[in-house]
Amino acid sequence: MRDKSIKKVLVIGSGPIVIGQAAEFDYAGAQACQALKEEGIEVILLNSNPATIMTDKEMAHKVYLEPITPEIAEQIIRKERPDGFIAGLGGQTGLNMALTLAETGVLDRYGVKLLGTNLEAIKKAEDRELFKELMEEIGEPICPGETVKSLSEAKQVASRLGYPLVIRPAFTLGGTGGGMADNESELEIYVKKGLEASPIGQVLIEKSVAGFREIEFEVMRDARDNAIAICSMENVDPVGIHTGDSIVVAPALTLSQEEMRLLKGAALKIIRALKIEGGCNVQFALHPSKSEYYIIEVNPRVSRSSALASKATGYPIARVTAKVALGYTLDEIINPLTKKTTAVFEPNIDYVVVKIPRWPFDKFKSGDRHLGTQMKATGEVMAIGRSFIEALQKAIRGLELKPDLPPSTEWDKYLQKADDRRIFIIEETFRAGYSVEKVANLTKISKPFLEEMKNALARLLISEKSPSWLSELKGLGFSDQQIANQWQCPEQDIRKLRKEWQITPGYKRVDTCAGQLRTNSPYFYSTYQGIDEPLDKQGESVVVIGSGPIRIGQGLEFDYATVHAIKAIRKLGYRAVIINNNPETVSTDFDISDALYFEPLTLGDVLPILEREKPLGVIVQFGGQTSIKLASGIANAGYKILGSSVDTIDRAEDRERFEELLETLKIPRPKGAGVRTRDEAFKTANLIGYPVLVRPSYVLGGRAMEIVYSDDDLENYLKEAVSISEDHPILIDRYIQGKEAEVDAICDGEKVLIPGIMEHIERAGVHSGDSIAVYPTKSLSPQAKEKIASYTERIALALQAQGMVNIQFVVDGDDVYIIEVNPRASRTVPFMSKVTNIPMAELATRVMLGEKLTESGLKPEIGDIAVKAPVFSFAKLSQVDTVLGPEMKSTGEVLGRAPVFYQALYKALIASGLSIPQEGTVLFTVADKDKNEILPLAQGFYELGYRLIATTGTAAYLNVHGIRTERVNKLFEGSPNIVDLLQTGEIDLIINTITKGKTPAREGFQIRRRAAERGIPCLTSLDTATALYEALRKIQLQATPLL
Amino acid sequence: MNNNKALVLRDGTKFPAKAGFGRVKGQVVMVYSNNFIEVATDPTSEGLILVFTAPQAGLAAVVSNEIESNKGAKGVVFQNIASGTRGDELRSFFKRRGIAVLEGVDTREVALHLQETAAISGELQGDTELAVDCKTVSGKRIPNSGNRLAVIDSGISESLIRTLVELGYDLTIYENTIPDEFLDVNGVLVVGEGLPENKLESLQKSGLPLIFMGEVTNYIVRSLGGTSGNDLRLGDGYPVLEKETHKVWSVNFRRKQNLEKVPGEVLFLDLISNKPVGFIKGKVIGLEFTPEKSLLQQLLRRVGL
Repeated sequence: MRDKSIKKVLVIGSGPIVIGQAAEFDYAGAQACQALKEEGIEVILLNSNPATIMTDKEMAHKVYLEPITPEIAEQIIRKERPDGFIAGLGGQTGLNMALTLAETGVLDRYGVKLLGTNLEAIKKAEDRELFKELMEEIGEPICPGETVKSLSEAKQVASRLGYPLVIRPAFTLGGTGGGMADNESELEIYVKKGLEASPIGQVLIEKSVAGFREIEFEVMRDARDNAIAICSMENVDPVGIHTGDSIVVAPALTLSQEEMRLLKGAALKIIRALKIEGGCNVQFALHPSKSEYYIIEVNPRVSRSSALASKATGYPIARVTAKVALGYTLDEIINPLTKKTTAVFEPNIDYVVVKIPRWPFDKFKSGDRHLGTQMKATGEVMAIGRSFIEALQKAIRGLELKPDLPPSTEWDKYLQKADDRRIFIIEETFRAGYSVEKVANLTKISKPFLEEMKNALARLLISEKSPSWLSELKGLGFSDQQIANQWQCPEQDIRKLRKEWQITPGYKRVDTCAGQLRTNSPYFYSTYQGIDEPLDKQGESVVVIGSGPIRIGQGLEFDYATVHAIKAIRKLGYRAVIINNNPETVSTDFDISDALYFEPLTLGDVLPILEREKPLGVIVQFGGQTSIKLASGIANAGYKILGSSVDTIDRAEDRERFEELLETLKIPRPKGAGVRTRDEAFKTANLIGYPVLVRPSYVLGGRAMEIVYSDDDLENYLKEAVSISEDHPILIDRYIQGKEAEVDAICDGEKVLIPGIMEHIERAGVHSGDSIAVYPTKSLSPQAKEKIASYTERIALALQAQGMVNIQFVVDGDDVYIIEVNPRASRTVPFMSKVTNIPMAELATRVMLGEKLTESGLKPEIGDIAVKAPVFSFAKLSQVDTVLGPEMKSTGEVLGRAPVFYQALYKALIASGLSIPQEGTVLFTVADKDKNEILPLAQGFYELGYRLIATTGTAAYLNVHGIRTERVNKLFEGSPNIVDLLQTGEIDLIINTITKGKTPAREGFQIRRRAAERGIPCLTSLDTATALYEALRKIQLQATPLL
Repeated sequence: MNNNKALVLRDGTKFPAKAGFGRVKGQVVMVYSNNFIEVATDPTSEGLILVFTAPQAGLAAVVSNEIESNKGAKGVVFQNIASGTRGDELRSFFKRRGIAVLEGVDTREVALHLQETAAISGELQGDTELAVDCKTVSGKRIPNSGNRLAVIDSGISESLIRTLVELGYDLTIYENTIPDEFLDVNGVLVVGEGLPENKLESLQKSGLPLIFMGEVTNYIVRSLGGTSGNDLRLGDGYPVLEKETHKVWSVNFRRKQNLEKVPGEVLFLDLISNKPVGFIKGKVIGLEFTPEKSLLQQLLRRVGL
């Protein structure tokens, strides 16, 4: 029964989205907050991520959008005096915070009870040594290995165990700092990285079991020791690739019953031995051909895998975990999908789920794409089918990717050492006649999976064209497009044939019980292997297209807007239908909408749903470029696009039409043109004058956008960009080095509401998603703001926009130029909604459904200063240059709020994880063009008491100008050089600008990478550096002599 | 899709299949677990047409120790059998055992259709004759160091025998028969169905601890004054509540009838139907399900074994 003494609970979120800790914790946190509120608990929430649903005011009684630090958490505890604290919902961040607060005595001091899984259990699961002892005690096998705290200890262990070895840092996320070492030099690299990454400076050196099958169990336990297995999952990729980077299947399909029982039994034994109360994930390495296994890892909390298991089974793990933390036993918690069974009922699934990670290498072309024990994916897609192959094919097309593959001569190498393209390469090798045995030997992927892939492909290649054959191919999961490619006809011909031959998908329910009980579950997936389940549709449907997997440039912010649109649709009395394929998000929680279709976001998958739902209209404004791309196809099929029309979208996106519009409105934009050939490009660039900003049209997140400084740079650029976007022109604009500003507005066709203007700290040239944004504006003149408001209104009305419009400006004094107009929701919607208290997505949805705005114009600036700072995941992406530019690189964002700008900025920077040194050494290494500009900055840091160091040229320049600066060797000048100092921890902050455009100077690149790996702040924009300096200056108590 | 191949229910509903072999008639029963071989060869499945809701069979290897007995189902129906080597092995296994197979059936639709009736007879229509090639297994004495149990095998699974051996019990197995007299045994375990009811009296007169498991539990319940119903259930992972401790166990059911009113004290409750699934009266324990190892040991100890 529920512990009635608990009346107020503190929940800590996971903070910004970083690789290894993404939207799944917003999903978990939101579900848990709701579960607690249902029980009448007063919920206090701490999270720094404004893009989350869980930080909406209605999700908790009090929301603290503050940095997740022990100091802030203690402040909140002191002020709010919660009775309890749930640690297992905020990912590794929440768990580590629980440990810190417990170990520093904060929880005891204020009488806060750790609810659910207790401290001892967390420690036993997370501390490698304690975990090893426990496993030995209960007789569960773990890989031979030892924990070490130094490199010399590691070498001794290596000599005992022999190579290859796996290095796993303790208490880290997504395998940060870990790796696989085949020899002593690799061991040195990973042990050093691992010791740095581990908050307790401990790594586990383990005998490698790479090539074993990787199996996971999600298990759940209550305080009365009832324990169940929610779901088994099998990684298609073998041990050696982080599970977050693996293709995963649920349920496990290739295991014998003996193996299933063995592992399930072990998972239940472990959760009981650890005395975990709530959800837990246990990962196993299972021998490829026998029942020998090892426990790889246990996560005593909700996780990415638990989000996947929740969506895969319909069992709400976070919700049940929250209830268990309050003292309920599993048999007392009702399963919300069946409404008849309880949480003690193990889910039973009658379909196959496949998850595929989404990696960021379409943006980071220079990054190291190889997959290993350190996670690199930013997001994932999930697909459901009636067979492995149907689900796999749906998942692949959900990625919205068609990567360039290496030449066939290199395939074997890539099969053996996987990168993000392996699944695509496997298809090509089968087309080229590789045998299953060969691919299995190289990849170590279980043969049954490969056989399914090869056999399906073989069927596609058969030249038969008949109704039964088309039905067969659709049943194998092939898209209309894939079949059209093979049958050499346009995609729409296949669609027509399907209609003519009455080959339509059936929609099945996800109900946790495989149809054992009659349920009214609103959670559907399509299959061409079965008939439709009746739709008990009530009221008119409005369909919202989601944004798919989290990727750089299209992140959680879009899901936030999507969820608010769904809520608004329901409020207005319509049936809200969501189509999406991201298992991590709140929008794919079946509780959010009236109907959830877990489907790939392609026209071939979306149109049959529209045929079934016959909606009043379709909303494409909240799903980023993913949904916008579908707009014309949906409209051409005869469905109404709600809000801005396809023509409005095209007028904003098509360069020539947009130019015409601006000319008509007499609104200036940086001089530029769209070009379609190389010659045109050079001619235009020289006419405008370098530097110019180049980018392909129809892109999001500044993909392939660059500042180009010369003909040579342009030559290099065109080689890549043209191949990226051959159907669309390249855009070349004059580069104006002004301040950037941005608005999100809502237009009903007659009125335009502008909740506020955001000002970017970094000058134009740094992608808006990577810039620090401030609201209210900090330095824009009233005239500039007036122009921004006026231009916004005129453009929105002229475009006949209905719903959201996002406009980006560059401001040079009082002059304002338009950079870009997006007739859709942008990534700043959650931030601005929260700081202005204007529910933008809701208002836009209301407008799309026919309501009129009640107010218009630019709203007065209100409230505290709010600073949105980007968060990067560079430490996990080796070989990726960290320098900021027009192409977006950040994975998440945080908010800092305070009455004055510099406090807000400081909070935001802390929340972003930047380790801001209060004293120490600052390294200046800047381009010649920036030397003059750094003088006041260097002077400032010097006066604050920092030691300054710089390379020869910069040091000489600063010393000449009276700023005492020590010289440090460049890389090639011998030791000790910059990299040596970075290595020994003698540098605390780096200010580094690059010499020109795209090509990263070799040394600069090395410095930036080394800094990213060691967690040393490296600022590549002088604007960011200046803002940081100002913040430090303002918060530092300074001793000043009497005048 | 070849319409000659289908599962046709008594009410005329036809569920087309993509492929299959064999043609059999029998009671159609849904199975919600993925231990295809174990359930298909479980003695309780004898004569049945089993419809599996698991999405895809034939990706796991066919393992001989999953075979529970020489008895088994008449036919099995799948949504999908894998296209590769292991899928072929699974098809061959069923063919050798004389079990008819259908694949490519919308088994979820069958489950939803059968929901109201729970079980219905029907015909599995494949299109080839089956050549049966089954090996039989015989009863056995398994000496061990622990308490001696007489096991009345009216359909015991091999896995239960393995569990008892692991727990150290010395077993004497009597196949489908109850000896007139038990010599030198500490207790009797009766498992399966089809027990001669007139022999129950002799069992009770023996004064030995008696454990009944599975369908046979209904006989002893009726002989002790209880009643049973007609709710059929085959499948794994069902939650049952242990009344005394309030602990929930995940158990496997292989039953054609359910308990309604039990003699003595209710030991376990089905958390779905809230009906009793286990009881104790003196030294007699009756269970509708096969308990997992630790629970089995606990129950045997409870009656002094």
